[in-house]
Amino acid sequence: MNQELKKFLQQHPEYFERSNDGHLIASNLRSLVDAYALAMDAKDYESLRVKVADFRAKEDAKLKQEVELLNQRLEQEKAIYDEVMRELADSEKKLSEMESELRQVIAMKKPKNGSKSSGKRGGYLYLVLYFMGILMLYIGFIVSDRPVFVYVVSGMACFVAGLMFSPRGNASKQSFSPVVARVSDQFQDRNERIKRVWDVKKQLLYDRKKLALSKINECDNIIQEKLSHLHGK
Amino acid sequence: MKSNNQLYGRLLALDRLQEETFNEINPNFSPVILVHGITGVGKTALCEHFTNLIRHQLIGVGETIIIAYKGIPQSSSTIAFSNLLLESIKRLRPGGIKMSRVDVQPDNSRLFSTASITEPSASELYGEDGAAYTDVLAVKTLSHCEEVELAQGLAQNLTDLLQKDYFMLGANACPRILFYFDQFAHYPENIKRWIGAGLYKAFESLKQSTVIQGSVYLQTGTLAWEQGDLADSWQVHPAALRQIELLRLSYSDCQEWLSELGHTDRDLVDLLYEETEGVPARIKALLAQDDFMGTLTNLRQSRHADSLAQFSAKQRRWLHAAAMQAQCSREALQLLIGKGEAQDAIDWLQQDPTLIDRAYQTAKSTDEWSIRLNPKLRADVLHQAKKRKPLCHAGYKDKIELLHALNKQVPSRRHRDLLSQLSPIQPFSEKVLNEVFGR
Repeated sequence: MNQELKKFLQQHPEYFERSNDGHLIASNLRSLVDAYALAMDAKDYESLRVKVADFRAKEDAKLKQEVELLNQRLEQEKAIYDEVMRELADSEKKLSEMESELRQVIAMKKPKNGSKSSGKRGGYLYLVLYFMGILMLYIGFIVSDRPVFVYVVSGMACFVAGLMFSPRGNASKQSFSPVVARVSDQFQDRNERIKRVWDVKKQLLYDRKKLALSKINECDNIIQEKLSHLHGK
Repeated sequence: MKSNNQLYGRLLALDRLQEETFNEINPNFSPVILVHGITGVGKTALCEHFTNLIRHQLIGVGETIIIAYKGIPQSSSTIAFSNLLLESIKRLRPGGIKMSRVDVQPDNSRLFSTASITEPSASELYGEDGAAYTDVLAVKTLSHCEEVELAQGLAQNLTDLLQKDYFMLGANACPRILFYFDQFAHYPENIKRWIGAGLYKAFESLKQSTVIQGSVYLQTGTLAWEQGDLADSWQVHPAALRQIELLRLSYSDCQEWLSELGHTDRDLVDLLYEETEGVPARIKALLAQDDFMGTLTNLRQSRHADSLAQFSAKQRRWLHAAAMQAQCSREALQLLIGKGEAQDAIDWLQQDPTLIDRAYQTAKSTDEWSIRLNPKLRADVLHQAKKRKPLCHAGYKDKIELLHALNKQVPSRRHRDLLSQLSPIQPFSEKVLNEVFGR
C-alpha cells in the first residue's frame, strides 16, 4: 500500500500541495476527498486519524525529550564556558603579576650596571691622584732644601684620595653586584619560562572558549530547529 | 446520541471542534465558530460535552474560562452580563477593558434606568406585571430552571466563577475565554450585534492589555453561515468565519449507541434507524416512550402497507441507496451506505432477479460492477423515500453530488481510493506514510 501511495504521490503532483510538515491534498480537492473518505468508511477514517495522532504525539514527546536533553547539554556547555572564562581571567591576572615582577627585577638590575661604570671611571682617577700625590711629595721633600709642608700635605691627601678611588677600595661594593645580577637573571629566566607556559595555557583556554561557544551555538540551533518542528505540527 | 456521558459518532466532530477552537497556530484560525445542523442532531449536546471535557481537563487545550450563555437573552441580562463581567475582569486584571453597552430595548429600559453596574435585584429583572423575562445567564453548570436564584445571585455567580477560575489557574496563568452561545440565531438582533461587535472587539483588545490569551465564540444554529444572516452580526471577514456541520448519525453509530443501551436486536435497530433517520433527538424521544417497541411496530405496519412492506427496514435502506442513480455503481452504494454494508446489499440484490433490471460487470474488476433497479420498484422506492425519509434522501442526494464533483476532478476510481486513504492523515510526510501504512 505504502509503495503504491508513494508512487501515486510522485506520479500525480497535481492532486497535492506542499506544506511545512509534508504534503496536503490540493485545496480544491481537500474538502471533497475528506467528505468522500468519511462517507466511504467513517471507522477506517477515524482509526487512521487516531493512529496518526498517536504517532505525532509520540514524535512530539520524543522531540520534547530531545529538546530537554539538549537544554541540559546547553547548560553544561555554558558551565564549561563560564569555567574557561574564569580560568582565563585568572591567567590574565597571573600574567600581569609576573610581568610587573619582571619589570621590578629589570629595574633592580639597572642601577648596579650604572655603579660598575662609575667604578671604571674611578679606576682612571685613582692613578692620576697617585701620580699627583707622588709628584707633590717629591716636590715637598726632594726638590726643596727643607720639606715644604703644603706640598707634603697635598701629596698625602692626593695619595689617600687615590687609595680611596682605587679598585681595591671599591672591592666590597664590586663583589655585591654580580651576585644580584646572577640571581635576578635566574629569576628573569624562570619568570619568562613560566610566562611562556601561561601563554600556552592562555591560548589553550581561548581554544576551549571557542569550542564551548561553538557547542553552545550548535545546541541552540538544534533546539530551535526541533522546536520549530514541534510548533509546526 | 449521548449515554452515560459518552457521545456516539461524534469523535471526529469533537476533534474538529477542538482544532477549530484552539488551534491558534493554524493560519486560518478564527475565533468565531458555528456548529450547525438540523434540529435535534445534537449540536447543543456536542458543545456541552466539549465544554465539560475542557472543564474536567480531559482535553489538553490549556487554561480556559468558559462562559456559557444558554437560553434566549434579553437586554437586561446582557447589561448585567457586560457590566459584571467587565467589573470582575477589571478587579482581576488591572487595566481592564472598555466596552460599549448594548442598546437597551425601550420596554426594558425602565429596569435599568440608573444603568447601575451593581447586580440587578430580582424585582428589577421581573416586570411590574409579574411576567418573568426569559433570559437566563447560565454560568458553569447552572441550568434554565434556576431563574430566580440566578437573577439574585447573578453578580456573585459571575464574580465567583472568574475569581475561582483565576485562582485555580494560578497567578501566572494566561487563560483563554470561551464564550458559548446556544442557538445564537434566536438572540435579539441588538444583542447579536453587541456580542459580534462590542464584546468581540473588547476581548480582542484584552489580548494586548491583560494576560488573557484571547477569546473564542462558539455558537450553535440550524443554518450555515452562508444560508442565514448570522454572519452579519460579526465584524469578521466572512471568509474567516469557521463552521462545523453536524450530520445525523450513521447506521453503525446508531447501532453502537443502542447496543450500549441494551437493544441488540438488529431488526429493531434497523426499524428505529429508518423511523428516526439517525437524528439523535428523535431516537431519544422514541426510546423515552414506555412501550417504544410497540410504537415502532405500529408505525411500521401503518407506514409500510404498500409494495415495500415485504422488505425489512435494512433492505428498504439498501433499495433506497440503489435507486439514487439510474445505474448504481458499487462505489455509489459504498458511499451511501458505507463500505461495510455495501457488499451485503450487493449480494442481496444479486440474489433476487425481480429487483434488478440489469446488472453490469466488467471482467477487469469487481469495482466496476453496477446495476439498474427494476424501474417500477425504483420509482416506488424513490417516492416513498422522499415522503418518509426526507433527511436521508437529501443526505443521499448530497453524497451523489459529491461523487459527481469528485469524479470530474479525479476520474480514476483507484485514485479516489488512494486519496481517501491519505485524507485523514494530512499533512503527511514519508515518515508518517511509513508509520501508518508500513514500509
